[in-house]
Amino acid sequence: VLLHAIPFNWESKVTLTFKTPAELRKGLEKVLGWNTSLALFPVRHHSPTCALKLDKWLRKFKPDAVLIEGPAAYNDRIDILSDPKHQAPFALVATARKKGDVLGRAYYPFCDYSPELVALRWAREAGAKAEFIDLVYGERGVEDFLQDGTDEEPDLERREDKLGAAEDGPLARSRFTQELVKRAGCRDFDEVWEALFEQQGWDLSPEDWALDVLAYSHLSRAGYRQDELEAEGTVAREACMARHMEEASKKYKKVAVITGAFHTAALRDVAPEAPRARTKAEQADIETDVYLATYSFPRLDALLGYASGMSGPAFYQHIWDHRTKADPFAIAAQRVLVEASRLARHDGETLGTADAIGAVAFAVGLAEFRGRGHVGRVEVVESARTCFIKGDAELLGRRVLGAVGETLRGTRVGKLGESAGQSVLVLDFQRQLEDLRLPLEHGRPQDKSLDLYGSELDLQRSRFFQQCKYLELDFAECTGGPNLVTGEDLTLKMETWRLQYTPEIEAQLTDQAVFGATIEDVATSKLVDEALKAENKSAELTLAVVKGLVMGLHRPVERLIGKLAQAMFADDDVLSLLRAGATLRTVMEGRERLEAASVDGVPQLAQQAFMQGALRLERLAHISPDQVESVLGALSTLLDVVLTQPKLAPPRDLLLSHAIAGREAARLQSPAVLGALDGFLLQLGEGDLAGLAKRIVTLSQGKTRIDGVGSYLEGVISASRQALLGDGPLFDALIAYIRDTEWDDFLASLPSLRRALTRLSPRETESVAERAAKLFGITKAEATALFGASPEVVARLGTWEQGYVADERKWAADAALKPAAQITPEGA
Amino acid sequence: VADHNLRPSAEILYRDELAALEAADTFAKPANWRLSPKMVAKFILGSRGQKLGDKKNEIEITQKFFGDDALVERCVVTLASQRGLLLVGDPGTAKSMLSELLAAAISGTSLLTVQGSAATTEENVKYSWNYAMLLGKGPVPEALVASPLYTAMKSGKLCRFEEMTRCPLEVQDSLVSVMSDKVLLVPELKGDANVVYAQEGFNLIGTANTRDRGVNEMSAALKRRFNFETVRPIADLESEISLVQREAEKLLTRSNVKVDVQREVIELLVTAFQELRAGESREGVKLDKPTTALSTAEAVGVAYAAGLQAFYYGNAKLTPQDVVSHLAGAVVKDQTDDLAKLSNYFDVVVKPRAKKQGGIWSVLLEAQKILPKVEKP
Repeated sequence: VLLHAIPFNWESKVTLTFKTPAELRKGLEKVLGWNTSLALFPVRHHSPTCALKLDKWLRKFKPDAVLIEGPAAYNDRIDILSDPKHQAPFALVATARKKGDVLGRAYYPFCDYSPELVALRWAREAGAKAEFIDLVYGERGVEDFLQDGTDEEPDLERREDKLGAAEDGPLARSRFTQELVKRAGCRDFDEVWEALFEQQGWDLSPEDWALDVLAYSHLSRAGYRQDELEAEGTVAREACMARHMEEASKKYKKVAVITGAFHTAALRDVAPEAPRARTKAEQADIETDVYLATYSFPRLDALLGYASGMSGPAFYQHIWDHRTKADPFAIAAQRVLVEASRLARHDGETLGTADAIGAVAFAVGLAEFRGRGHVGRVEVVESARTCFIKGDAELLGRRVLGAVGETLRGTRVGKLGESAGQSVLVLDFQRQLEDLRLPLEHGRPQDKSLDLYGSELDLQRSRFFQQCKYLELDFAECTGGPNLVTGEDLTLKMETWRLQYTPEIEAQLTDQAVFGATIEDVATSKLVDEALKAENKSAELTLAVVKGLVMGLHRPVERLIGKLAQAMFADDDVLSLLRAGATLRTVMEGRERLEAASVDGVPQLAQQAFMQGALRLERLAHISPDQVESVLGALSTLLDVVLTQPKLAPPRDLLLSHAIAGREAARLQSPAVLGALDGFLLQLGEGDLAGLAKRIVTLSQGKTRIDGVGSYLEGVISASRQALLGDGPLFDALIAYIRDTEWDDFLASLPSLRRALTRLSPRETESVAERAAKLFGITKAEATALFGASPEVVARLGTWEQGYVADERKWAADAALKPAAQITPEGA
Repeated sequence: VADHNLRPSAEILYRDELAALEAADTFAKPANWRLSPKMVAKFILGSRGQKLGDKKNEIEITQKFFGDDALVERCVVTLASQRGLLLVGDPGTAKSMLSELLAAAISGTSLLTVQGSAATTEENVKYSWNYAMLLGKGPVPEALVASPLYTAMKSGKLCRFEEMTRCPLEVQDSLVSVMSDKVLLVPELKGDANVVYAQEGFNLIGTANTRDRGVNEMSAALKRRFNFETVRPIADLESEISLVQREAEKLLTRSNVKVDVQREVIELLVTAFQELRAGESREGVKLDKPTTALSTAEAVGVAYAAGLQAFYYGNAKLTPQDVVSHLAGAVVKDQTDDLAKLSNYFDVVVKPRAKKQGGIWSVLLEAQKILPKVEKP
């Protein structure tokens, strides 16, 4: 069909070997050589029509051996690919490494309608020999790496995955194609290919189809110069293919060679490379390993979108699945359009069944109008555009086009049978998903709510997700639920996760396969690693314990707990100890969910952490000023434990003596810690408000730190809000300070005071304000009116506050450098 | 008669082409269609070098719509279906022209047209009465004044509905039953006459402007009865240049004005239009898009006006100066800051280009002084 339609005068600069269509046909029949013992079949990757023609032809030609364009390095395992237990899509992944560094990966995806896989499956069925004949890894890719001269440190950008054999590159870019696109009234190469070789090719005989495709490739190739082909790496690859052909034709009686059409057109004229020639990759010490991995339609679509083969895998899969029906294309179009209208409706479009019916009819009509025999992907997309988008396509088309894209693409994820055996970790991942009754598909992210207390299955799921999260797989993201690490939302009964499967997960898993054979193994080994790194830092070790518990790794956790007990004695960081205690207390609260009761040591550990922390309270004063916030938090936790969970708390006498010692140390160092310990002791019944009030006076006299009073107050309030709430000396001292301090000093200390008072609740603030107003002899209304400050004052306040924040940072830095006493000791 | 019309309708203007297509048409035609869908598309997209008719009266079909062949194909397929066609897009993107061409090719007439506006009533759309006769004879068929839609339904032809979304919503909604049941009820008449059944071949082509009242307010019920096609400005520079030149020359000839319309000058104009429309120059300089829709039709308008100026005030040769003096009027419609945007275009695009390429771009830069001055606030 095409042979006669091809314009022979398309570019005068090109010398064509054949001058007329008849001559061309004769020449191409010779290239195919179907009546000889070495026959060639031109293919395009992932073309259902091609796959069907090839299948028919193989059954007739019955070769002893099929040579297929694919990485020869996989030949020792080639039979695995056709294992009927696999479910496509899957891919061969070639990884190029140099001195252990991954330079890049190349994918050779296979789906049911890939001619290569059809050939492999046929060979298994017929007992023929199958062999890959291409260079192991796109030599071109390797050359890219080499040209950079960055052998030592591969360019990060170049580490992107590359496609194994970008056949359509040369085809799509050929000058002939450009001309053909124009003359066929198409918009691009994909449309031309689909129109001529899929939609119109479907009803041709294998021979006519192969001749058409070969004619097309032959003419495309005529527009290329040798240097272009060399630069593309095509020459080296074809020499490799030719060598395999030569060797095979000596070994077997009848050989079929199945390669990309672009190569088929030239293979008979290519001189074979020298046997066992060292490839450029070998010369450059680049090692390549090839393994089999599952793949998915969305990944295939994205990959094909810009390089090789055809995008819209779900559409073509439908065609393949219905290949025995009268018009599989119409069935595929119907499936896609109905599903797309459903998806778009789900996203908020008003589309009904009538619209879907209309769209299918339209697509068929359009294909018929264009004389293309069957509906193609292009017509499906255009039909959705025309029939589903009610308005300006640019403004309103997003949802519809998104839905069509999604349905053309599909969500299918391949599965590998046991023969693949390469990555037990991937198998474990899939088995876990199956056991946990989670379907594996590569679609939109799915939200999952887990009933942690009511369902054993959900608890197991949660643990599995936590493991995945810990392994940094892009699979599960926790979007809500009790957080045992931070202690937030512990009352929640449900946990919510957002799940999305992508084939990258398998690459991620494969990368981690060295750590273990199951997800649990890898998580355990990483956890142990983390614990080893934490050495004697009890807070970090505790976190590791908690992570282990939420992942359900109870056995390794038991080992960690022994280590943690030792670490607590050796840890001299009081904050770390108190934090560890707080975390362990949280763990006890969430015990039911964690089944941590089985981990006997936790309560004793928590007690030990608080005990060791209490013994080191003196060190609080020496903590860097930027950690004041953590100190206040840790102290209030300790106080809470003492007041509410005496069983976990250290003995009172011990606690008091160390808190008092800490206070003495803090007096010289940090007003905030001093205040916190004052408040802490006050809550425990030590000290009185008068003592605290005195401190305010002392601090207000030590003019070196204008934030002294405010910081102190903040410390007090963090531990004991009651200190300020009732009438009493502390309150009076504060009022006196406010009244008596000079205006500028007062303004300067205002930001720190304000921060201190924000620790009160709104109602508490109001009560404090009311009492203060009373003391100043003004009514509530007047007090409110005072807020109407003049713009000048407001501006000044703003400047002060900014200055304060800057100064505070400076003090923090200074204090960290020289812990010299700046505050006058009490009574001095 | 037609030759003296200020603007002959498409079926008259292209009667020879239509006749040749009809004669050569061997494809199946939907009922009541004058041409087959394939020939309708060929009429609009041109025969691209192929000649039709016998040796004596050979004729090549000119291309009339540029930039999106697939869109035309889809329009034709829609019109052969049960659904109406609604063309949406910026003003001046040739929506109305496309609808006229489609109607002329399919039904042989493009005159069954309802012009939508805020004042359109249901009577304008369906039917009204000859009141003198109505008073004398009562509601009889002879007293009924058929609308273009009524006529199109009865005769199985295409009805055009211009600016559909400018009509009040209730008037738009009167189309729902026409489009879904393909009937028009005339309750005033007795007997069989009170129902008009649409004949095969009847369909509706609407146009709607996205700049003013858009299609958003249109009822969902009505939207469902239409397939929408968005018509965009021509993206390809070469196609748009050819089109503007040809159309401007056609208009000038029609006005009995003989001007040398140089491609170079038209290229200048179209380049400026395309760059301002896209908000980016060829060199990648970002530009402020003017609020006006800079359509191809607008470019033709500028070229035509500039051509007239060149003829009456110049030496009958189109120059960049002629173009610039009409450019401001095209770009600046109601927003004065559009003038600043145009002026900025000269500063950041024309000036560097004049420096680098010289030639006609320098002449264009020189002509900048004709532009009205931007008032500084």
